[in-house]
Amino acid sequence: MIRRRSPVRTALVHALLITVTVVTLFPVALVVRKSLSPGNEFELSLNPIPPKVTTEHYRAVLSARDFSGSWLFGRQLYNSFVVALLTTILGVFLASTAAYAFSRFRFPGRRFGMMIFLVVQMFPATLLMIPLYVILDKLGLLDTVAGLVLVYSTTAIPFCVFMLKGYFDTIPRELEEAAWIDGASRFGMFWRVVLPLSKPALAVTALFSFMTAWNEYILAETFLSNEASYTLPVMLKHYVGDKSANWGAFAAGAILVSMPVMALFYMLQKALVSGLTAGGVKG
Amino acid sequence: MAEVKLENVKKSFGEVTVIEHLDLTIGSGELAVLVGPSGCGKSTTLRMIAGLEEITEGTLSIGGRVVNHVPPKDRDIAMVFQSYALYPHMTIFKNLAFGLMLRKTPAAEIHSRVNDVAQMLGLEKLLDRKPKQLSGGQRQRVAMGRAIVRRPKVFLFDEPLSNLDAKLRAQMRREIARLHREKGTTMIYVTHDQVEAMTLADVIVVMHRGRIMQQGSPLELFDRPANRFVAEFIGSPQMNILHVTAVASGDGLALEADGFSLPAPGGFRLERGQRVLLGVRPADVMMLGADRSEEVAACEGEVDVSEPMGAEALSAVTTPVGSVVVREPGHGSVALGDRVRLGFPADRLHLFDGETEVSLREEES
Repeated sequence: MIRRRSPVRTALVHALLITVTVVTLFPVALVVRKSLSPGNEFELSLNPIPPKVTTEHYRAVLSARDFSGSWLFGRQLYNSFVVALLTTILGVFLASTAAYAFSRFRFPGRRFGMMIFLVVQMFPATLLMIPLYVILDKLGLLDTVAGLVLVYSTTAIPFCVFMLKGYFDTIPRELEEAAWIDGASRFGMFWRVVLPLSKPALAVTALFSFMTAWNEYILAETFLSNEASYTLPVMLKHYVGDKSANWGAFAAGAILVSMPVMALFYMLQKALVSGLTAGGVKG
Repeated sequence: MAEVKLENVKKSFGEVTVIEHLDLTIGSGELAVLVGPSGCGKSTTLRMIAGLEEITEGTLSIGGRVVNHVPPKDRDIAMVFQSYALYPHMTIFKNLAFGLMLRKTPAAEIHSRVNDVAQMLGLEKLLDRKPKQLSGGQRQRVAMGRAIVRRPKVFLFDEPLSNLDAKLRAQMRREIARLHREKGTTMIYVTHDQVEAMTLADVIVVMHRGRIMQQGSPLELFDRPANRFVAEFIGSPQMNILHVTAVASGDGLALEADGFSLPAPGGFRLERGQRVLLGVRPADVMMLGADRSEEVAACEGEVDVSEPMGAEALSAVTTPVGSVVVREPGHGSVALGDRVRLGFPADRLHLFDGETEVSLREEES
C-alpha cells in the first residue's frame, strides 16, 4: 500500500531537505570557490561564486615536484592509495574472520573480547599517538607504508568486527547446517555461504576502512617525516604552514583528495543503504 | 539403504538433559515418523542423527557403522529443513548442485543428476531463478530436490511441511510418500502433526519429554495405545478420558463413577478398587436415541456444543463424569440442549491405570 501524502506535508519535507542540502553543501561551495579563485590569501567572503575562474591552483598541486625533480603528487597519491587499500584488505579480512568467530563460536573470553573492542573505541587517536610512535620506532616501521597500515588497521578493525558480527548474527544458522550436511567444511560454510550473503555489510566495512585510512591526518603527520612518503592529507596540510600559507592550493588539493571517496560512495551507495539498515533492524 | 540405530542415547545441553536413555531402531528402508508436542526432543533426536548436535552418551549407528564422531558430510545423509535453508545467493541449479560440487562430482554427472531431479519435481523451468523468486511450495520442492540429488542412504525431514498451506501440505505429503515408495530409502521424518504421522509412517515413534512413549505402526498406535499420552495424542478429535473406579458387580467388575456405570470390558488387567482412566474415541461413543431405548446407557447428559460439518457432526455432551465428545456421521442426530443417553461399546474401550496412566490391556499371546 502506498500512502498518499498531503501536498502541505510534501512541501514541508522538501523545504527541510533543501535546507539541509544547502547547509551541507555551502562550505564545500566556499572551498570550490577558493580553489578556482586567483591568489593564495584567505578570504572571508560568503559568496560562493568565484570572482574570476582560474585552474592555476589545481595545476600547481598536480605538478608539484621535490628537489630531485620527482613527481610529488603522484608519489603521494600512490602512498595514500596503497595505504588505504592495504588497510581495507587487511581490515576486512581480519574483521570478517574475527566477527564470524564471535558470532558463531562459544569460547572463553568471547564476551570480554567484544567488550574490549568496544572500550578501545573510546580512546581518541591522539592518545594513542605516543605509544604507537614508540612501537613503530622499535619495529623500525616509522616512515613506512606497512607501519601506517598497521596503525590504521588497529583503529578500523574493532568497528568492523562489531558491524560484521551484528550482520552475521542475522544470517540463519540453518544455512550453514545445510552446507555442512552438503559437504562443506567450516571454512567452506564461511566462504561459500556467509560471506556472499554479507556483501552489503562487507561493503560498509570496506568503505569505512578505506575512508579511515584515506582521510587520516594526525597519525600520518606524526609517523611520516619524509616528503616522498607523505599521504595526501599530510601533503595538503603542508600547503598551509606557519611561515607561508597557500590557501588556493590547499583548497584545490582538498577537492582533489575528496574525489575518490565521493566516487566510491556513489558506486557503493546501494549496498551501503541496505548494509546500514540491515544492521539496524536487529538492534 | 541403511538401518539407523540409537542405543541408550542421552543428550544434555549443559545442566539440562533433554533426552534420556533413548533406544530406537529404524529398519532399512522404513519411513519412521517422530512425533510429539514441541519440546519433546524429536528435533534434537533428528539433529543428532544428522550430526548437527553432539551425542552426550550412547551410540548412534547408521548402516552398521558407529557414527558418533563422524561429521555430517561423511554420514551419507541428507536433510530437509523446516525453513528449507536454501542458499539465497545461488540459483536453483546451484542450490541443487552444491552438495555434488563440494564432493567434486564431474560436471557432466552433476548436470544429468540435477536435471533428472528437477524433472521429477517439476522444477525444470526454475533452474535459473533465485530462491526468493519462488513460491513456498516451489521452495519446498527445491529443498527436497537438494536432498534427493545427493542419493543419500538416509533422508532426514525436520517438519518440512509446516510452512505450507493446508492444500499444498496434503499434496507434498503424497509426494513424499511417493518418493519413499520409489526410492525405498530409509527416511526419518519429524513432525508435530499427527495427521502427517498417520498418513506417511511405516512406524510412528511418539515422544514426550525426551522419552519414547510408544513405537509402532499407525494403526497399532491408534487401536492399542500403550498409555494415556499416546491415546490422546493420536487421533482427531482427541480421545475422551473419563475418571472411573473398578468395583465388584455380580460375578465380575464394573467401572463406576457418580452417575456412570459400565460393565468392565474383557481383556484388561483390573483389580477391585483400582482407579482407572477410561478412554473412548469420539467416533466410538454411541448416541442412544429413542429407537435404541432397549440398550443400556453408561451415562446420560446434555448436548452442550454442536458442530455440524456436513460429512460428520461433533457434539460435546456434559455428563456427570465430564464432557464427552461424540462424532456422528452425516448431519448427526442431536441438537443443542438435547438430553441424550450415551453407550460405550465394550470392544472399543481403552483402560489405563489411574496412577501410572499405562494401558491395562492384557498382552495378546
